[in-house]
Amino acid sequence: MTIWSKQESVRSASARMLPTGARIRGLYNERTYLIERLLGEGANGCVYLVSRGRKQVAALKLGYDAAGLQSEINLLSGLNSKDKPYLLDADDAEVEGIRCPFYVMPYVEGVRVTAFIAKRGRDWTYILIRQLLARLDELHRQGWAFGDVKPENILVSESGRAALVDYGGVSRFGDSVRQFTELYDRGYWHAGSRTAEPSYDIFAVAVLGLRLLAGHEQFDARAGHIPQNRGPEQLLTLARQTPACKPIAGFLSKAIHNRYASTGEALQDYRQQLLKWGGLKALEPLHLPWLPVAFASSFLTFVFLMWLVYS
Amino acid sequence: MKQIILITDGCSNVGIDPAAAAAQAYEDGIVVNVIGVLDGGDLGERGAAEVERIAASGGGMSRVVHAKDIARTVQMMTRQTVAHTIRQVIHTELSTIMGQDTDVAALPPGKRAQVVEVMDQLNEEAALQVALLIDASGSMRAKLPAAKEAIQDLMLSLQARRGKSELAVFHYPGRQERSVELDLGWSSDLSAPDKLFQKLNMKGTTPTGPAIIEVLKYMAGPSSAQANRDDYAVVEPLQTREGLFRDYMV
Repeated sequence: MTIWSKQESVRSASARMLPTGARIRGLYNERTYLIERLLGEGANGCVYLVSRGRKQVAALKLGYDAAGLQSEINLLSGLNSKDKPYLLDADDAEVEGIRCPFYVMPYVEGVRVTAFIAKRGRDWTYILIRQLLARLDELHRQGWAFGDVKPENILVSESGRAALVDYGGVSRFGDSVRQFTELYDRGYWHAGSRTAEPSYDIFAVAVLGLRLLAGHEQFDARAGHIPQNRGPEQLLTLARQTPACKPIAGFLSKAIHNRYASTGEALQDYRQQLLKWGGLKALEPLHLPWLPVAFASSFLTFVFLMWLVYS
Repeated sequence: MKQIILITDGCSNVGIDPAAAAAQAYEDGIVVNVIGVLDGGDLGERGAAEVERIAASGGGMSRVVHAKDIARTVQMMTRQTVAHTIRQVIHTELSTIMGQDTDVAALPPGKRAQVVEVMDQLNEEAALQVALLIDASGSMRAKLPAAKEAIQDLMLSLQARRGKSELAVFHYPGRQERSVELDLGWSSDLSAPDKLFQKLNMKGTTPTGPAIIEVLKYMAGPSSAQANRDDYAVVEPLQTREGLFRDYMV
């Protein structure tokens, strides 16, 4: 009927979830993977946790659309290096009689950055932003922008290491950004172009940092739906009104005004601001509601023991 | 590559059937995508059916959205249409070479990687013209600010492409007896967004079909690039490199 109907039928055919214990066998490279569980579903495929042989776990993305998936494969294989593999395997498999492309990448264990901060405390935001800049710097040095910086694409491990996942938005410097999310897009904020360049990602990191520090209710109330009220100044006003933003105010302002020429420069500047501010101890006092309770209970135990001894 | 994005609430009442007009566009190699804009509740059965029919005949896609989602939808449609058009061209070329119906998916991984690299490059570099046709009749009038925002947003994305990208904006009905009014001729720069939608016709007809025909006439005419030979330089290296697609480039 229309040119879209073909793709949609392919999609619905392979959108059926694969159960735990199912096997995927590559038709060309002949490697077999055992499905452990579904990790997530993206715009053009499902990502599964898989194992191969003993204990070797990896993430496997099974695609709906050969061209779309191949585009990601090309990108990951371009990023591949000896010290840091991005792509482990790429192949086709037959799933329920339908040929589906898939690729395998290292499994990144962790929780979404917002969940991590909610659990471990807001102090972590500062160091996670620094890590994020460092990860982006690695990518930028190879001539690629990440594009779609957003909480969903940042996982933090138990030990507090941030990693970027989902490379669907990665774009060559000078191209247009392939995929972005309005809230973190500088075009949306009338603060610059959608050309893939270091400052595009740095802007998104600043907005993400601001949103994490100001809280999403506060932030989203500001991210008005009226385009006239949307601009870099709105963001900076919110930053000024948020005490938690003070330590990195200089970074936020430069990033939002696209004043960093490179991510290396932004990272240096950010590091220095954190150092100057004196580290995390200057933050609000530790919030430990269990401390008085513990103190009271140990005191009561002591009194009780004294009473036992002397009566 | 040429496409029309029609933004309407889907109740045309004058002139040629808009689906027939869209079919004509499709024959001209112009894809017609349609965004149906909701007014509070739903589009109404007739409106929704019309939106779907126009897109089906125009070889494009249709979506029914709230006014606040127009910008996002315009972006998505533009991108997907470019990607699908390129994919179809590649499909045709591959099938010619291989002598049978061959999709990218049928190629072995190494070849597939190469072909997809060319496709991605075309996605970014092929010349593109998008005509936005906006229904400014009756209840649609309240949606014009959202449409204006979508136009600015699309312009920003088009500007970021490597290839020559142009946008034209029309609204209908036009003044006096004209079915359509040109708000912005082929352009890569939206210098005065406030000038859009100034000449509104307050009378009540909704000539969606005739408006599409007028846009087709305009699209058959010269692009702004033809006035300036230097603009072609952006596309030229690709044409010589990828001889296959020479005929296909605008």
